[in-house]
Amino acid sequence: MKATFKRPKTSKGWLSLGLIAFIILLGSWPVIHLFNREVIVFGLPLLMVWSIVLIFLTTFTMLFINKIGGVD
Amino acid sequence: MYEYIPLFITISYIFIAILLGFFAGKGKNMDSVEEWGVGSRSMGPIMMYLLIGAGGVSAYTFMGSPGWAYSKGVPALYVVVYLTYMAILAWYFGPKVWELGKKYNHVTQSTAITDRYESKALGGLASIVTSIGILAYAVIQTTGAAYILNVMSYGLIPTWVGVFLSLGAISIYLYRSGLKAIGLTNAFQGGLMIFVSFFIGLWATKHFTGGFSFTPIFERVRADIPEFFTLPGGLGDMNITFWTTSILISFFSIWQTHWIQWMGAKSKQSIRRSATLLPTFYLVLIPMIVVGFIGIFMYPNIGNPDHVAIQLAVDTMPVVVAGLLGAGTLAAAMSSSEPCIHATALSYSKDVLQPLLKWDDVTVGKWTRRLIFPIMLLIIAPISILQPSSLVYILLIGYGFIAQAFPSIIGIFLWPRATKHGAFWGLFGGFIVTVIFSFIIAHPLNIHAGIWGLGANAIIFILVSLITQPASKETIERFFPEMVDDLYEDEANPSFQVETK
Repeated sequence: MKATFKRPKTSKGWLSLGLIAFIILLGSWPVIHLFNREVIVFGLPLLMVWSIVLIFLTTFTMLFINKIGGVD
Repeated sequence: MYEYIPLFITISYIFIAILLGFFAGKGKNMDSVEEWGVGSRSMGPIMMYLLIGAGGVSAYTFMGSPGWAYSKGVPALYVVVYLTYMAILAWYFGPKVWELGKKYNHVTQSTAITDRYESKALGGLASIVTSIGILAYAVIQTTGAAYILNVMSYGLIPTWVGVFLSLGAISIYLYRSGLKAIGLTNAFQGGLMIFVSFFIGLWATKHFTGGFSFTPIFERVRADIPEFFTLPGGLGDMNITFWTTSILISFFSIWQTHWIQWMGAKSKQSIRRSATLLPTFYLVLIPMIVVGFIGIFMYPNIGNPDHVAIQLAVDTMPVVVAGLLGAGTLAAAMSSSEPCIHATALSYSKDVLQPLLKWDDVTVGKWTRRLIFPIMLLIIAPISILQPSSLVYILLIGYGFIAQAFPSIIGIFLWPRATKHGAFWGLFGGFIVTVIFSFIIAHPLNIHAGIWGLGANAIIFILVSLITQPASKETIERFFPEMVDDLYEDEANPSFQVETK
């Protein structure tokens, strides 16, 4: 009896999985250390700007994966 | 009379919501689970965007997030990040859940768990464990709604009356129209929230700085209270470990409410399109977090930080603007609590009471929508009236419980070897660990209790699954048609079986 998990079947699928993992890493330890500074960017705290950037990065990543057919 | 204009605007919102919700299900038989529970799977991408977005953005947006910005600073942003990441789950799992549900007539998460693991007990347990978090969420929304009515009426509407008023309004349209009412009212509430949040944020900024630039606010924060600019924040309780694990536990939480909302979509594409754009909805939080920072300087000694935005609106804004904030906050609270009540009633009826009392589908259909009344009267109302202390912490603990269903969901979509014993004992162990690390030894090593629970859950889930029998070949064939031969390779290749003996 094999106990394997369902995995992406194509290189596009693996690329998509990698992109999603990378996006999650961008908002977590240790990457978040880079943005945890007393700096004002565009009038806002750096961490706030980074949170807004993450909103758009996540959206564009999902759009990109939809476009290349990397999910399913 | 002039001072009651905000109350009038806020109450008007309730009437609009009742009207919209009441007529949403006109001409439909709401004694059918398919109709009341998932609105006959009829919602397009725009409706889905507003439904999921408004359901996720709660009273927290208008009360908790400015409250956290006021008392801690940038830690308030963790909600923006986790809501953004939760959209990824909707985008990935939503279409799969929809397809499976349509094929095998699942309406709730627990029904899918029951079917996949061939265990009604496991489905029932998942329903009860995850409902703890969902009901906690409904409680904080109801508390928020009651508070708004109390402030807008200058204390004339006491908390308990506010609780019954908001729950009463929800009960009318929820009973009448089910998920269709939630869809239509959330669309209205979502639009109102976006408008109100940006309007109030810009108004407060103009009032405080004389312009529309945020720079003077944050230059002052950096000069006077620099600790509010970085993690762990003003109170020192959100270091990077807790930030990360709080985001992760929220990310792993597939709510019963989300599951049911996905089921209401017209097609797989409806969910995928709406979920792709869903993160943009959460920009709505940013202006309110800025309002919390402004409040630090305007109200240095406010009693409850969660009240800072409302206080600022009542004190400094024209009555119409204050009324709009009241209506927006009430919309946020109601739009988030009604899916929780709906999902709990649906799941208790389908996944707990039906197997327990041997109800047929007609009886389930009849009782499902009636269950909203005991849930509201016996659970949500009394706890809301007791007024728990901090909105966000209750929410955070709630996520710890909801996330415990995640391994079981992995077993539905990604791991055919998962067994009912693995899922059951994983869920049970995860629940116990989450309880211990939430209430007895709170968040050891600054790692969220739910992550500890999920870690224990995942280990138990895998180990127990590997030593117990998987589901029948027929079930695995339905859930993993392309992997069934791998799992049952001994049967598929009898000669190999003989050789290994």
